[in-house]
Amino acid sequence: MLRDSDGNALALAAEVGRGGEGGVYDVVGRPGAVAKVYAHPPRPDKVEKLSLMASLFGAHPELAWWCAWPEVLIRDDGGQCLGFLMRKLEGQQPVHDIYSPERRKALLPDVGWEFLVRTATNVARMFASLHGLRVIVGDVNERNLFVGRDATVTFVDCDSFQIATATHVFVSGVGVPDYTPPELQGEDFRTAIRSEAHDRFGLAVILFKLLFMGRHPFSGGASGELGPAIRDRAFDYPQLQRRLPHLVPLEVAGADLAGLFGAAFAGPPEARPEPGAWAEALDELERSLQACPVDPLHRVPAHLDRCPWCQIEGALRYSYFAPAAQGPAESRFRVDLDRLADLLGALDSVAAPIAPDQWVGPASLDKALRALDRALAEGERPEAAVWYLRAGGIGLAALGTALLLAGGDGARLVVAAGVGAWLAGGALATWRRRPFRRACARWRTERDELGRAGEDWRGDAVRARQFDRQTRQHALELGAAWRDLERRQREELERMRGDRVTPAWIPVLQQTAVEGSLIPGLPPDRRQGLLVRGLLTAADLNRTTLAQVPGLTGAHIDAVIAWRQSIELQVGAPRRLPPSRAQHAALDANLHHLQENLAHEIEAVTLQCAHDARTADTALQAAWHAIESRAAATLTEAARRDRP
Amino acid sequence: MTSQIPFAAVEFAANPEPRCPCVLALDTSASMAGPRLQELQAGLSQLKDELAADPLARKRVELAVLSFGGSVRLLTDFTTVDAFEPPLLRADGLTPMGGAIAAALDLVKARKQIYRSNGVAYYRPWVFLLTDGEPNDQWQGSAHAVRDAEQNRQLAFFAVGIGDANLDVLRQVSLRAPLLLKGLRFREMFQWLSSSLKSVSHSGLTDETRLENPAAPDGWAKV
Repeated sequence: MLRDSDGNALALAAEVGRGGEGGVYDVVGRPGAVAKVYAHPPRPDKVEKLSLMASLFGAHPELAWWCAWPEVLIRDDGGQCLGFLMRKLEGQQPVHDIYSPERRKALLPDVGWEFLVRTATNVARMFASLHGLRVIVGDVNERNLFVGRDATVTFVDCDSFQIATATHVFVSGVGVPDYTPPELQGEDFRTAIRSEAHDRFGLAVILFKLLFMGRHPFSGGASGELGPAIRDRAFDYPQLQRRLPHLVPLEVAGADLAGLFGAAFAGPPEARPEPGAWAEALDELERSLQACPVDPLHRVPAHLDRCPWCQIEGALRYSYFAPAAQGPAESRFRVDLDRLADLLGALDSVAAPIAPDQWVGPASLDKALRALDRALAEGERPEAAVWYLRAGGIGLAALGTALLLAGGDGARLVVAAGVGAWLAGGALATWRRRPFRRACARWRTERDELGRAGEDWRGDAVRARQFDRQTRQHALELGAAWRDLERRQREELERMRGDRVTPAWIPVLQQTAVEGSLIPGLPPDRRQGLLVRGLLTAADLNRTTLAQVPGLTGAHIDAVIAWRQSIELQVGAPRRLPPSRAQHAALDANLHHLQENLAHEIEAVTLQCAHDARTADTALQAAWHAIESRAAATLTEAARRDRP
Repeated sequence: MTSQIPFAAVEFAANPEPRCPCVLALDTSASMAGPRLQELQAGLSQLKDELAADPLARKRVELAVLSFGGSVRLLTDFTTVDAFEPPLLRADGLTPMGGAIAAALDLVKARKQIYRSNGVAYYRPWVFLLTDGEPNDQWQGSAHAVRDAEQNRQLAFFAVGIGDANLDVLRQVSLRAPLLLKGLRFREMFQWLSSSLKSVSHSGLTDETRLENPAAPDGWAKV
């Protein structure tokens, strides 16, 4: 049995990923989390590192914004650590599929260069945050960095981060030459202690690839291999871009960024720009971008007077961006309530199995049983001859007794005759009834069995009705889910617009109380309204909850959302982009798909109900016929009065 | 001054990832006909599928297929995995292995030239030779060239024999000890090849000692 650190049992669900070290699994009942479970129990120092990371997470929950961080250790009943819980990534792509033009065009057809610039900014902010907590990435590479559709970024494989205590350094132990600075080339990654300056080199490589269409800054060297080119500090891109027209010139990023790249790749370790400097320069670049009049996906930095993308496309006959995407810039999906009404109406018109009391059957069984009872009662009543004999016997005995008292002669004889007649009556009854008694016993058993069969039958009929009701209930739940699509659409749009709080940010937003906070644009008496409605911290604020606060105008709501986002920015949450056409189109397609699935399910329920009712009715009818004919046979036999 | 645009520029603009080129030089002489060729054909498809399932390897690994049976033929020039379609193999003729090795070396040399002129980084090229016989042409020159290239770390050459292959010749071609396929374990062999190419393309490691040992007791080959 696996348990989290509070001792709660964990049940693993489907495997969602597998690597050299073990598997990653969904966890039953924890939708936002996954469990990484090692194939072999980690060594004690690894466990020590993981528990250090988990306690760091406890102090800095914002780590979950940036990373699939080991949040909670998983142990078996013996206390052995076998893995950890971390945030589940959804809808994110590895960064190499984002900076590589062809894959990006397929995955995100409607994003332009500004998306790549924003992604780069978020990567720089991530490194700034991690370094702020004295966490070193160590193994910077293109496979452990993921990018969302909103340009937010997430690190995975965080158990390879380098973490230090006052006395001990838990090294990363792994690395990739392509992202390794010159001074570490050829070193043994298993023991190398990384520094922030080492990380800054890897960071610069990732940023370069994002801005310059996936090119590695050191590719083009004589040996072809990246490691030796890095070791020789052969940052040849500025020369190469003159020879190769498909390269995006360094100047497109502007002089500031070109200078930073030069320092990062050709300068000494201490000259490598720190993450904050990158974030600032990239932010500046993004703000300076202007639309190209020719292609809506082209963005032109203010310092250039011609669109660099148009120039490259003209020379190369290849576009780094997809042709302008078609589709609405809003969600056009509408929940189709008329269709739902039709579907549920069709289900209503399917008859349920016939109710037991509507059957002619049960009434006629009751009649038959009563008739049988009567026949049995009648059969057990003694015959008239017995009555006569016994009554005569009593009469004679009484007469004899009277005579005896009167002293009459022969009275004893009369008494004896009376007693004799009475006894003879009894004997006659017993003798005559002997065969009949057996038949009666049989009929009584038969009657009981018929009664039971009737009860069973009634039970079956009731169950068929219940089952039918349950099936219909399921259709009603599907209908509710159908109506709920409208809420899901609203929430999803809110999430896309950044109105909604990303679950990983909740712990930090919860630390900011609404009470006592100055919210620009919201009068204090209105703020009181939030508290009355139970919106106590910044984590509670989104457009849905705010819409329920009386007296708030649209401007107030915008102000509150802006305030919440300003808190996110203060603590360094990634900046997010407004939703794109493709995102709207994907949302619409998704909702449409869900609605179609629900429609199919409701239709399936309708067919099922009709089929079940038919089957039940037929089976009940057949069973009834069997009971009925058995009752009739018994009754006929009993009614023949085949009796003494 | 306007510069020229090399034809391959679009290919490398669309996918600028460092390349990991691998030539498969496959013996398709008459003796390969039957189950061997069928298994080999199935192995090629498997190789493609396994590499294509890896998002990074599919952009980085480039496969070329040479066949030598009767004559040496280039069945598929270097293609990244996502566009690679396994060619149809036909068994015929003798075993011009020397010619095939020379062609493989030329192919690698030309490809490296294209990488360089397009400023694309690459990992050490692999040549994977598979044969069930012995050369019927001049092979000593090619052997010399392979050993030279391998010594200068310009190439990683793997030779695998099938059935009655002449391992003595392979030993003279390859610096690395040639392997003898156990039975018809093509499936396991291509699995090894795909996972080796994946790890090379992931990390840039070129030291084959870190590859899984195919001649382990449960491996697909013996030395």
